[in-house]
Amino acid sequence: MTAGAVMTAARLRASLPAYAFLAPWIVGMLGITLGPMLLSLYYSFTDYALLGDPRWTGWDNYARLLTDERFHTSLRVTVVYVALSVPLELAFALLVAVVLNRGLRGLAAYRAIYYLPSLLGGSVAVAILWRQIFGRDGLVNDVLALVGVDGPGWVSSPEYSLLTLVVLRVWQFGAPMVIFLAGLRQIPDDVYEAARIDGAGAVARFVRITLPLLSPIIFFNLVLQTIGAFQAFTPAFIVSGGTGGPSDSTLFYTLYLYQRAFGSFEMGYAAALAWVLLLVIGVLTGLNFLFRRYWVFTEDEPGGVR
Amino acid sequence: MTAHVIGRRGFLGLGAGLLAAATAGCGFGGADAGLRVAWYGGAPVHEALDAALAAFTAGHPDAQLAAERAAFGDYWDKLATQAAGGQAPDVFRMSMSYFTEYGQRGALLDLGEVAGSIRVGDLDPSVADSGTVDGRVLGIGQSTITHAGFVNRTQLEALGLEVPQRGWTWDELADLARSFTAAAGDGRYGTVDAGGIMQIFDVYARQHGTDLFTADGALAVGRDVIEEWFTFWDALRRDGVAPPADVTTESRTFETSTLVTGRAPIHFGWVQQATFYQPLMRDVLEVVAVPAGADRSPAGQFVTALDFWCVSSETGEAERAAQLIDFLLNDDRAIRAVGVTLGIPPSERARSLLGVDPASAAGKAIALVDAVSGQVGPSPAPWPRGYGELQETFQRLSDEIGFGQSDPARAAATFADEADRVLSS
Repeated sequence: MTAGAVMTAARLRASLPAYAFLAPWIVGMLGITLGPMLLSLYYSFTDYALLGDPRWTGWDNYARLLTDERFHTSLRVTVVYVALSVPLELAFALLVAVVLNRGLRGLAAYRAIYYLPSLLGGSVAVAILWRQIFGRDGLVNDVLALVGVDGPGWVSSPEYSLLTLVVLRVWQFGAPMVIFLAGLRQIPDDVYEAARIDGAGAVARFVRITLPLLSPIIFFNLVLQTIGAFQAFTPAFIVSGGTGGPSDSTLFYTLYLYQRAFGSFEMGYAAALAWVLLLVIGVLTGLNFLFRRYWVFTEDEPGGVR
Repeated sequence: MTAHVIGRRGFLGLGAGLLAAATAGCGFGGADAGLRVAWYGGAPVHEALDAALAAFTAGHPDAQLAAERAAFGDYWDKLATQAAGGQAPDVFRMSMSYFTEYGQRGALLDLGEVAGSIRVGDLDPSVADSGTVDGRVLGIGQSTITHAGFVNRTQLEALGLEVPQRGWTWDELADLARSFTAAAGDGRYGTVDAGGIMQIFDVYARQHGTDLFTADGALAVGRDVIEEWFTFWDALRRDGVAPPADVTTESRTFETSTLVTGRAPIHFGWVQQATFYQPLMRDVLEVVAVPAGADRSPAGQFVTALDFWCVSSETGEAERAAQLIDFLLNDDRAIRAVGVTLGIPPSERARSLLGVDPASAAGKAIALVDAVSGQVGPSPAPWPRGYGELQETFQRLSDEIGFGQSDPARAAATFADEADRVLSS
C-alpha cells in the first residue's frame, strides 16, 4: 500500500460521518431528482407508451414539436400568461408592501391576511371557487348586473378565460410582498431624510431611492415568479376541467404535457416537451441574469448601476 | 474515544438505514395484499362494490381482497403508472375508452384461458362479445349501454309541448327545440348543444351509413357527414335554440348541465346517466332514443358494454380473479349489491332480479335498453386507440365553431386530419 492510498483511505474515513449526514439528501438527489431526470431525457428520444417498452426514435419527438400546432398554442398561451401575470403580480406586491411599510398599526395582522392567498391560491379548492366567481352566473356578473352590464362567462369565453387565470395569480401576491417588505426595511431612513431635505417629493423618492435600493429584491422576485408562472398547472387544469379549453385558450404548457403523457400515453413526446420547457426556463433565467447588470443596483460596486 | 466511535457508527447506520429504506421503497406494494381489486366511480359505486366484495369474502373465507378506489379522472393516471411498474391490480374496472390501449399493449390477461369459471351465458350477446379482441377474451362486460335522449317532461308540458317518442327524427328535434325556445324565452334554450359530443355524432354517422371508425381503426365517416352535423348544431346555436358556446363549455358536468339547471329540456348521453340526472332534478325526466334518420329506425344506435372487468396479465392469482368476476356477474347477492351503480345490468336475469320500479329513472333507462336492443344495428369494433383524444378534439372543434373561430367545413376537415394522425400513430 502506498502512502498516498493510506492518506486517501484515512481522509475518506474521516469524512464518513459527513457523508452519513448527507445521505438523506444524496439518496433523494440521486433517486428522486437526477435519476428520473436522466431517464426522462432518455425517454424523450423514444416512443414510450408507458405500458410497453420504450422504442428508440432519435430526434423524432423534437422534430414533431415543429409541426405540432397545439404545442405552439400552449407555448403562446403560457408566454402570454407569464408576460401578463408576473409584472402585474410584482407591481401589485410592491404597491401593497410600500403601503404596509408606512408603519401601520397591526402590520403583522395585515401582512398575514395579505399573505393568505399565496397559501391558498394554488389549491384545487380556490380554482373551483374561481370557476364559480367568474362563471356566467357567478359573482362578478351579479355585480356587473347591478350596473346593468350583462357579462359573458369569463372562464368559458376564450377571450377572457386566460385573463381570469392572470387575475388568480396576481391575487396570490403575498409571497413576493413579504419579501418586498423585508427589503424595504433594509433601506436606511437617513437616505430618505437626506432626500427630503433636498426637496425630493414622494414620487422622486420612490423612483430615485426605493426602486434602485430594492432592485436586487425585485430581481430575485422576478426570477422566482417567472419560473413559477411557467410551471403553473393546477389553475388551468381545474378551471378548464383538464381540457385547456375553451378552445385551448387556457392550454398551459404543463397542461398540454400532462395531456400528452396521461391522456394519450405519449410519454416519450411528453418527456421531450418537459426538456424543452426546462430549456426555455433556463434561457429566460439566463437572460434575466444577463440583463441584471443594466438595472440591478449592488452596493459593493461603487457608483451603483453601471 | 469509544463513545465517539460508536456515535459515528450510529450515524453511519442511520445513513445506511435510510438508503435501504429508500431502495426498498421502489419495491413497495402488492406481495401480501391478497387479490387487489381496483375501480373508478363516485361514492355510490364504492359502497356498492364494497358490499359485493364483502359478500364474496363471506363465501370465500380464504380469499383476501384489497380494494383500490378512485374517481374516473385520477384512476387512469394511477392505473397506467401501476401497469408500467408491473404493479397493476389483479382485477380492475376498464372503460371502453382505454380497453384497446391496454389490450394491444399486452396488459390484459386472456380470460379465455381461465374462463371456465366465468359464466357469461346470461349476458346480453352484444355485451358478452364486446370484450373479445382478435379472438381473445380480454374483458367481461359489466354493464349494458345504449345512447339516449333525456327529456324534461315537466318543462315541455308546462308549455303545451309533447314529449317526443322513440323514432323521432333530427328535424323533429330541431322543431321541438325551436318551439320550446319561442315559448319559453327568459334565457332558456330548446336543447343542449350536442354538436361536440362525438358519441352522439356516432349515431348520426351510422344513420348515414358508416361507423365512426373501421374495424382496423381508421376514420370511416366522411368529411361531408361531419360537416353536416356541425352545420345542424351551428344553425340551432345561431338561432338561440341551442345555448351559446360559453354556456355550453360551462355546463359539461352533471351538476352544471343545462338539463339540471333547468335551462334546456333536452339532453343526450348514455342511457344509465338518467340515474345521475334525475336525483339532481325536481322535474320529471323521460328517457327516449336518440333522434333517427328519415326511416325512424333506431339502427343508428347500438347496445354494447361500456365498462369491463379485466384481469392483469401479470397477476399471480388468475383463478381467484376469475372466480371474483364470475361472482360479481352472476351471484344474486352481488347483483343486488351493485344494482344499477355500474350502469344497466348486462343480463336479463339481473334486470328482472332487481325488479326496478318502471317509473324510476333506472326503470326508464332499462325500458329503453329492452325496447331498442332488438332493433339496433351491429356493435362497432372496440374503440381504437386514440379514441379518447379524438373525443376531446371533436368537442374542441365544435367549441371553436361556437366561438366563431372556425366554421363547419373547416372543423370537419381538421377533425379528419387529426383522426388520420392520431389513429396512424
